[in-house]
Amino acid sequence: MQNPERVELVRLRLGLTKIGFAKALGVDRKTIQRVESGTHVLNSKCIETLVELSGYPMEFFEKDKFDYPDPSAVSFRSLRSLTATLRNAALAAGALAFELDDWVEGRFELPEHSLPRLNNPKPADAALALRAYWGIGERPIGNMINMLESHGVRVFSLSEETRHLDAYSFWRNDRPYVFLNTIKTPEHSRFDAAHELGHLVLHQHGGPSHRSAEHEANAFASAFLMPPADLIARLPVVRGLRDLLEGKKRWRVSAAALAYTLHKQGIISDWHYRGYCIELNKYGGASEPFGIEPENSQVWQKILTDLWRQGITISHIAQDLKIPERELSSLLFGIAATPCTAERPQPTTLQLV
Amino acid sequence: MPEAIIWKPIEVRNEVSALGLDIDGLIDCVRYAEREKSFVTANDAVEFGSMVVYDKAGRALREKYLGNGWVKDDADNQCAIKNPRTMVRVVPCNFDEFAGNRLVRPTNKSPKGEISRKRTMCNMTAWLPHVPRAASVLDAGFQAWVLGIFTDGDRPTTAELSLPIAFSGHYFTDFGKRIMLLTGDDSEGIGRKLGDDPDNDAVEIVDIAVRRK
Repeated sequence: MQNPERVELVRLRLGLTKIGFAKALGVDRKTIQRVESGTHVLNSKCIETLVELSGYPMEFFEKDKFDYPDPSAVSFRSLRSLTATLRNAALAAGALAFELDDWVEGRFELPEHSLPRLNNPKPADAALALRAYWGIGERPIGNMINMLESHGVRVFSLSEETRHLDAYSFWRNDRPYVFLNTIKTPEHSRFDAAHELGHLVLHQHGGPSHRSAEHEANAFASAFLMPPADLIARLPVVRGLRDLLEGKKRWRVSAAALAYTLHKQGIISDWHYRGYCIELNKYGGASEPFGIEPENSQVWQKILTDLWRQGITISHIAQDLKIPERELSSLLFGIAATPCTAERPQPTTLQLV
Repeated sequence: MPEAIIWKPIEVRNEVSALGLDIDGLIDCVRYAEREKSFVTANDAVEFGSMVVYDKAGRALREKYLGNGWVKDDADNQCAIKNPRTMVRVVPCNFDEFAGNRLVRPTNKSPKGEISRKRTMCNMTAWLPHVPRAASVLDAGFQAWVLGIFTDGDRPTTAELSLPIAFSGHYFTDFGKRIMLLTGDDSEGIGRKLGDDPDNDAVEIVDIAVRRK
């Protein structure tokens, strides 16, 4: 039995409008409307075309209903140039991530989340409260993805290779999810992760509906990555761009983010902040001076390594879930490709602790 | 007479304190001047950077100390402060790369004129044998201290508070006392170098428990 929701999901993943989708399948737009409303099914010829076009197997369209992220509860960190098509494609990837996560949940015990309910009115206070709750004081964060995963946040990489979307996050069944764009600079990605953590903590019980939510999440991320007390203690005076570039190494943030925070803290004046921005713009947005190594997911690395030792590769997971392997790989920071390069071992009964 | 070089932190604090100043305040002034100079580009007038350092250090001295026993002193068009109680006068000056170097005697970066020579001579009288230290004649006996600053974009900024006592050919040639403020290799305090082992106290990467069911 064809599931119309899954046809729509694939259309969204393909980034097609109904008109474009109809054109690709060689049918009328109204046919697609009827299919997605459940009053009509695609004929076998259209399904074959769709399978060929999308790479999704026939069985995918016959699977049961699935969870789809509630758009009103998702916080997007994106540029204004983000189109609805791209946004929907990213959300559809979230639905695929649910299926993968449920599959993993059935086989592995992962950390429960330890995100507290914070009632701090000020985002910076909330960031410091969370630091205190997690027992990390004023110290810099060595690895932001590791920090999130160790506290039970499910972290996926963003499938969409676009510069228009940075990250998004949401809650599902009392479980926090974060999706990060991996084509941004590692510093940018760390800030995105902290930003999304801010949404998860600050806007947990109501979608980020108000306009100031993004500002709040930014303020949270600044304070979380660069605690004000540590910032003032370590960088009380900024003598020039050189100090900014040296200072950013400690907090592993972009020089622009550090300059912004120093400006907000009153350590550098408006005039100096403006000057630093002009200087930093010369580096261009796509590169970061003295850049750091990209962060990766330890949880996914462990899971995939253990599965691989059992003789289960990403291809097997893809076959099990009826989802194209490339879709899964794009959600897993590209880790999935690594074990496949070696000779596949025989299944073992090794217990991973 | 041999010049007294004060470089041990506790002695530096004591000496500076005896002058009615404080080390952190003086270093703040130097840092402020250095930061302002960082915005000077190759398109500015030649030697404008040195002018900025002189002006901003003078301004910072005034903003920090005026009202605390210090008064503004524009005598001879120098951007100085003076303390009528301690009879100390401080004026900023660009020094060469040996500022803050206790092994090598620095001098002023660019030639100085008659005013500096006179004030130096005045300081020297205070150090003549058998002459009381407060026996200066210029400015009714004020000791003329110089906040010597060396700034260079590629090298650490160094600074010292010096009492010049000899002047020759437009340059300071000897000092009665030199108090090291920033030596360029400070390992602690506000004068430390940034970026030394920046991640040494970062939150470590924890091993996340992932158990097979």
